[in-house]
Amino acid sequence: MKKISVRIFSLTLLLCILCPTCLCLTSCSGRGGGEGEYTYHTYSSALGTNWNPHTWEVNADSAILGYVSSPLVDVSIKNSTDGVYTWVFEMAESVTDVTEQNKGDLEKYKVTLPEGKALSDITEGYVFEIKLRRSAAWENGEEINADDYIYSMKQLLNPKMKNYRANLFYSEESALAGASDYYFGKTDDFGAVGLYKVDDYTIRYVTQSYIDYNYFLNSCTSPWLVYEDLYEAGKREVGGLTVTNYGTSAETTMSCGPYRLSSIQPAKQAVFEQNPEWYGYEEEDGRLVSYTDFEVDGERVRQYQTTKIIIDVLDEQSAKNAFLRGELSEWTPSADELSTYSSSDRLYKNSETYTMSLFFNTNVNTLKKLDAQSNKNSIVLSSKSFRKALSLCIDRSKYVSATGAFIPEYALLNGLYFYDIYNDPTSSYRASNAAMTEICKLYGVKYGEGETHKTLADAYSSITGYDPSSARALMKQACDELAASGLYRRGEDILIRVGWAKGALSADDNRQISLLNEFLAAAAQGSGFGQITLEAVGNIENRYAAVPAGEYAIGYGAWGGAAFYPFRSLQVYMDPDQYSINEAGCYDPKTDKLTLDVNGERVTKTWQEWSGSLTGSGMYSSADADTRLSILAQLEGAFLETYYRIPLCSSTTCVMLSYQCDNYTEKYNVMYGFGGIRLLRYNYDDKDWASYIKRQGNTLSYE
Amino acid sequence: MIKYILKRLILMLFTLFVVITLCFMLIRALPSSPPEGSSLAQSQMILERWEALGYNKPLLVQFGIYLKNIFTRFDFGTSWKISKTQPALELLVGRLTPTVLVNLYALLLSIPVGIALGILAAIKKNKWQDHLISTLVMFFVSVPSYIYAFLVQYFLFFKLGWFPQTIYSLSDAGGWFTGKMLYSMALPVLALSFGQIAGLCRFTRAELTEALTSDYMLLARAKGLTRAHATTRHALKNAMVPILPMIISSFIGILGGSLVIESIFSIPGVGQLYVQSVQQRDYDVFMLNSIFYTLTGLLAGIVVDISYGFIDPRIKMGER
Repeated sequence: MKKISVRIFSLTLLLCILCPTCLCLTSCSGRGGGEGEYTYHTYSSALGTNWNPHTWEVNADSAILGYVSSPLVDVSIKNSTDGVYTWVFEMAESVTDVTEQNKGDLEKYKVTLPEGKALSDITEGYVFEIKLRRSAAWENGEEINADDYIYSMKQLLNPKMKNYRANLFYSEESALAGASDYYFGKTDDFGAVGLYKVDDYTIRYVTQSYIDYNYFLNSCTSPWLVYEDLYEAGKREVGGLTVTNYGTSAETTMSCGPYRLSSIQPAKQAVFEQNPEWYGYEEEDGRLVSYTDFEVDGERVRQYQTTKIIIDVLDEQSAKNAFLRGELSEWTPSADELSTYSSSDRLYKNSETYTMSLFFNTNVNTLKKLDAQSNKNSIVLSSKSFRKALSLCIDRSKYVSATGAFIPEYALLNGLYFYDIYNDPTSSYRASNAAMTEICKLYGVKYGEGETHKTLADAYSSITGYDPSSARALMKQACDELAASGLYRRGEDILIRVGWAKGALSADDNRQISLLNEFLAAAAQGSGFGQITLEAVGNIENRYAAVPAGEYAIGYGAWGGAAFYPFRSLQVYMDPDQYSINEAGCYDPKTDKLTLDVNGERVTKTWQEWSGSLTGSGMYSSADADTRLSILAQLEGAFLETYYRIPLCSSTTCVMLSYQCDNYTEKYNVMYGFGGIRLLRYNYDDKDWASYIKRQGNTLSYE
Repeated sequence: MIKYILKRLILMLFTLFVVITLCFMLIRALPSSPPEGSSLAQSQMILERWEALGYNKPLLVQFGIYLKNIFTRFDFGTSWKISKTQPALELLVGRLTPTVLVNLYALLLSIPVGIALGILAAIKKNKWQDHLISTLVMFFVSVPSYIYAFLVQYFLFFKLGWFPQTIYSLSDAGGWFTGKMLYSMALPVLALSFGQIAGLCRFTRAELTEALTSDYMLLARAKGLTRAHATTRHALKNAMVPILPMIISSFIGILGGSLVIESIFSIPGVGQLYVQSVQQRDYDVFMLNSIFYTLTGLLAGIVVDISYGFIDPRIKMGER
């Protein structure tokens, strides 16, 4: 018997030792590259699945598309110290406004003229001639010419395909003339769409509405070129829809960018290598190298030094482990981790254009209905005094301390927006007198002789949005008003469910909501209100739609827009023809009117008309920058005065970069970021990096 | 026996139909709207796509079309979210291999080790070996596998650097069936194995302990067999009757996958696919996954029941 047990025990032990040993023996790990190779190894929680330029949907798709495509025009650094950008002509050799010389196109393509203007007044902003780069080629060596662009646009607007990105070209700022009719099937003649070939390397683009040259260049940064053979080969009919599998695998992708997709394994990994057919590369000692054809800080510098890019699918913890062992080039610390790395010189931090805010449904009937269900006395939100008190009772500095990745905000548009960046790179919207004045008015901060703050700038910089004494007074006023109108009985508790998040509530979310409750409790003391409780709700399919639909009285979410074109950003609050308005339960921007001062004249329009007046063919779309700035600032101020939405904070992106590489600049600029993959510089090639990691004992410290 | 199997198969098909019908109705009952932040133009386009794809037709009509496509064209639909425009069947098949491999390796490691330790514990009942094994079994059974996952990742990858923390991609490993891939699967295999080993060990110990104290063991010894012979020829054989079906069902269960383990070790398997399909309302992928899991579960039940008859001839299936 003893013999058997010894045998069994030995066998078990043997198995336990042998299995891992065999596994080790069969292995030969090492994903590292060699000398002169520079691998940028990044990660994502999910890999893109659809990088077709006509249908991509999420950031993960766009990341892949960015590597395998070249836009007509791009943006890069001219002067990193002063934050000056430059347009970089990529697939286009030049873009010229030829409206004056092609006025016939305006009539032919039935463009929309600005309010009050005749065809004879138009000299610019409609017809743009794009000279294509003659050396541009697909990764298989085939040249790219005007026909490719015409074919691509035709497919993008194909009414049978209903492509997700088609709206960029039929309804946005740079909408093609006639594109809307073609997309919606009102005509099946693509000749009625304002994109035509002049010769093999020249196309003309006719816009539906007036567009500034620089904004047009900006729209040229979105790629729409597809490779016809693969696009057609991948087509099939599903239901009543024509779809293509173009841009869903390495085999169905044709690159025209600096990198080509060498392999992709769904939900696992994507690998990109240099595309030898990209026009920017030249061979140097058997390697592909490229230098900018524009000056960066006064000299032509190496671009696209990265020879290989790997995107792995990793969860947060695995990414951290891999980064600390030198296996990843970048890592995004979670809010909890940020405090550990906040002083690291490898941390690149930048704000985002989105402002997180609380938005309301103030409709009395809706609130009563909600009170009969899950809320208690949410009717108080119908009182502007209550909403204003809510805004003023929030200590935003303390609120953002609940998480590590937010900064306080007091307005809809944060400090990243520029009202005239193309002519004046320092034209910060938030720092303009017009915008600062409106926010000072909103929070009741005065300046000038006899005031605490002598100048507007001083007054503006003192704003914290936190005014507990005013908040308490407003709470009391709100309680009195509501009690008098019979909507609220003094002393009753208030419970309001807040449509907080699309996903499950995180610890950060819970901390934030408990801080809000703390602020409210302090403000409501002695006001006559009972206990006020906000209850965050997660896992909401679309909280932005849920509030105006009357499912929640309060929502929490963020809006933002193009930082270099703020004039369109307010449409999300005011133009129901463009967006589902979150505040639709509060007011009707189509009928409610507002009077603003335009160059000394009092002008009255509906909210929707005001937001539309600054864009497209709107009355003030081609007005001078100061006029548009003034209107925008007044409009923002007036909207904030309604307290249908209370801005709280904006998020920041914090990314750690490994010692292997550096961003070109540490000063973030909204136009070019930190320089991007184009100007990324390496301190070690892959071989030296592997040696460096080994010398550090295979664990790197970034604290 | 054939009559019993046929009866079970018919019942299985009926159950499958009920489950499919319920899943089809329930997933479509979940609210689904265009992505947050879409402009009206984009929302409109998405709604038009849904219309074109027939998502606005009555549910029963949609279900009829779905069943018709399966039976006439073997078309289980298309993924519109997780892997845009890819046929759902192709997507599922592509995700099966890594799931099966990791689970199979884990099972191949768990079965001999688990049974061996169980036998040892039974033979050494109430001795220190038994106490040690039982204590470890209690520990490993109680702790969920994702805890082991983090532990093995921390020690064997982060601290010691012996293994990669996630499995290699196909391009890194050169294929699913290479030594490099096997090596990279070491950590998930270990994480999955601990619990399985403990489970098998406990079960084996319990069955064998009972068998060792049976009358026929006394008889065997009385006939002059050594304890070793009696144990291997009689006790072990009888103890295996309930253990073998358990192993068979485990083999079928390897198709299932584990969401948590797949996420932690970045395994592009079916476990993740299933959850994603619910989260993203990828209807056809969800339906195919549901059919697959239901069918697997039902088949496992039938195979296990039938296997009793083969393993122990005294058990007659379908007879009163």
